[in-house]
Amino acid sequence: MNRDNILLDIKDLHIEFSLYKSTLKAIRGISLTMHKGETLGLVGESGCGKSITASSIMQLIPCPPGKIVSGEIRFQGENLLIKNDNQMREIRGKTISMIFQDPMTSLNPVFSVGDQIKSVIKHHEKCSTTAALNKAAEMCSMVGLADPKSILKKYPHELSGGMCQRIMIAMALSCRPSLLIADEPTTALDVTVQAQILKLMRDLKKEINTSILLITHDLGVVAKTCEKVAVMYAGRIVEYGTLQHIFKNPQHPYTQGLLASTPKLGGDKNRLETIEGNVPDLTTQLNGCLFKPRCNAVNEKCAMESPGIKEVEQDHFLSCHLFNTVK
Amino acid sequence: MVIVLTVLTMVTFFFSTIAPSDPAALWVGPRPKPQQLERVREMLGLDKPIHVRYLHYVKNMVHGDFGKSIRTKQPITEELRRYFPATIELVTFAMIFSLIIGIPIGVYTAFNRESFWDHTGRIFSLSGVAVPIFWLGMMFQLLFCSFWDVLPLQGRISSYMLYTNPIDSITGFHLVDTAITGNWIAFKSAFIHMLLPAVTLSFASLAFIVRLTRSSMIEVINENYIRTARAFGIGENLIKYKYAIKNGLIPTITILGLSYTYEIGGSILVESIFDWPGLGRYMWLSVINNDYPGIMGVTIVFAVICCLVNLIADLLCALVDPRVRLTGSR
Repeated sequence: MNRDNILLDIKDLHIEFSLYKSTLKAIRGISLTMHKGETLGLVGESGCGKSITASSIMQLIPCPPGKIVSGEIRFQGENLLIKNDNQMREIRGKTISMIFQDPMTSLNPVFSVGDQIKSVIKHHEKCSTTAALNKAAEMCSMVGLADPKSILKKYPHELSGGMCQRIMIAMALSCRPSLLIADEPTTALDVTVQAQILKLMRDLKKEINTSILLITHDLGVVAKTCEKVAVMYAGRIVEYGTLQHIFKNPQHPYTQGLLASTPKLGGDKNRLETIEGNVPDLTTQLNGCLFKPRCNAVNEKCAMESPGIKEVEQDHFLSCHLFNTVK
Repeated sequence: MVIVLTVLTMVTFFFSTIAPSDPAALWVGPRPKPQQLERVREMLGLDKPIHVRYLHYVKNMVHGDFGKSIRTKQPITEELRRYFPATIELVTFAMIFSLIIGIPIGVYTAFNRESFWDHTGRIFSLSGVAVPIFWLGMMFQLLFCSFWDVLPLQGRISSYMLYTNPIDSITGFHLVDTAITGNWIAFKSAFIHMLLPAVTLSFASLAFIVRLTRSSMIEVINENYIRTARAFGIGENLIKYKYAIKNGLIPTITILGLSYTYEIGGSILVESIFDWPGLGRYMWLSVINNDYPGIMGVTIVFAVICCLVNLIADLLCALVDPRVRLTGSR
């Protein structure tokens, strides 16, 4: 891939949270590159730092207790971490947008949805109220909501979860952002609505030419929507590659475990596969490979040093000492 | 509301009849003759059975007649009408005062958590709940009237105003009347008389409003939709003073009716302390004189006020919170 095409470049990001008596090292050195027009899936189990990574791009980490210790986040060549709040506010919602896990609680219950979309458009485009409302109605029909004029007058509690998420998407895309961060957009929705929302996101992505960073723990969602996948474990990216690499040729034991844990139709097993053990306590000092306690094939190197991320084939990165030794 | 009032009249009527005092004896005065007592009993209807007396009372009440006061021998309806505006004026003023002071303090402390002013505000509001109203009222009188002599000790207006700047009674509320007629000297007098009792009365609800507003604002600014607003680049001030405040004030509006009720109860104490010619003081005088028709009259008026105020608070709540509205914009 050529260098000009890079949209988002995260380099060696470290984020800590100071707790009552200890410090939680939530993100332990993430490097990630996204290209224009790409859909990247960020997967991992609960608490591995997916959402924190997403919030850090928007600089929405509550500070204190959160703190970005080191690293840099370059978006369209500019380092977002040195921008002040006013500069970030121009970016948020305009060039980078974000939609959230729970659409019902992500919209303000005492304002009509039209009012909320209108405020966002007015803030970024500096246009009149009527123009903003027209644009909001246009966005609503774009996300497949029938009768946008009456929908805009409604309050979030009068809409279903799927409709709320469509409103969120309409709001997020109203300023045609270059990057849409979707933080588990379909987790709170049932499967049929989930499929509709994912299809909508795929279609709109083509239509307005945006890139999507999709955060999820659902590998099925990733397989349906993404071109690239990054697998996170305990604040690190353990494997990163194209959909083909991750699903057909997973190299990291954690990725292999995750894929083995997904239920398959027509399988002959009665019980689901699991990965034994728990995520390590991130407040403690950890040496070596973080996945070591749960890994099936450990060698002496795993306990000693942390595996760096290496390119094992074209566009396929891995953070494991075991590569080439097991095979 | 009809049910509330029915039950209320029954309960107060019943308790006033079992009270260990003889209204007839009170009416006649000390050392009555048996014939006098007999005649008064008949006149007051005390010789009839209790349910007949109750029905008679309710019938008169519906026609706006609360009977005669034992203490003053005046029709209670007249007296209630005379004292009613003073109490409503005092309590409403106190309520407005506690809202315009309490809400900003609550909001400010919520947005500046753990700061110096937050701690000060919390100590202040805690002491507001802890301090008894009568003690506070007397302390205020001591400080502002005896030591510094900046505010009047008691009453509703300076007595010489009757002669120098007489008030045209239009609504019965001194502040409103004087403002309408442009009688600013009397307005000023009424206002400074109002200050101490109103502040005393508002203190407890003020503290309550501060605490409630603070905790609800803190809850709201951690909600998902506030994060959403931030993620869409909305400015911090707009988030706080538009998006958060409308949600954060819903609990405060809900308890508005309740605190008004509470302050009406407090008016009995405050009006007695400051010699405020209102229903609270009338209630107090009725109680110490065993004037049961008076007590009942005030109780019923208070009950009606409470019902109405709570109704208004509910309507306000529906205005702010669309989720409460039964008929949405469908």
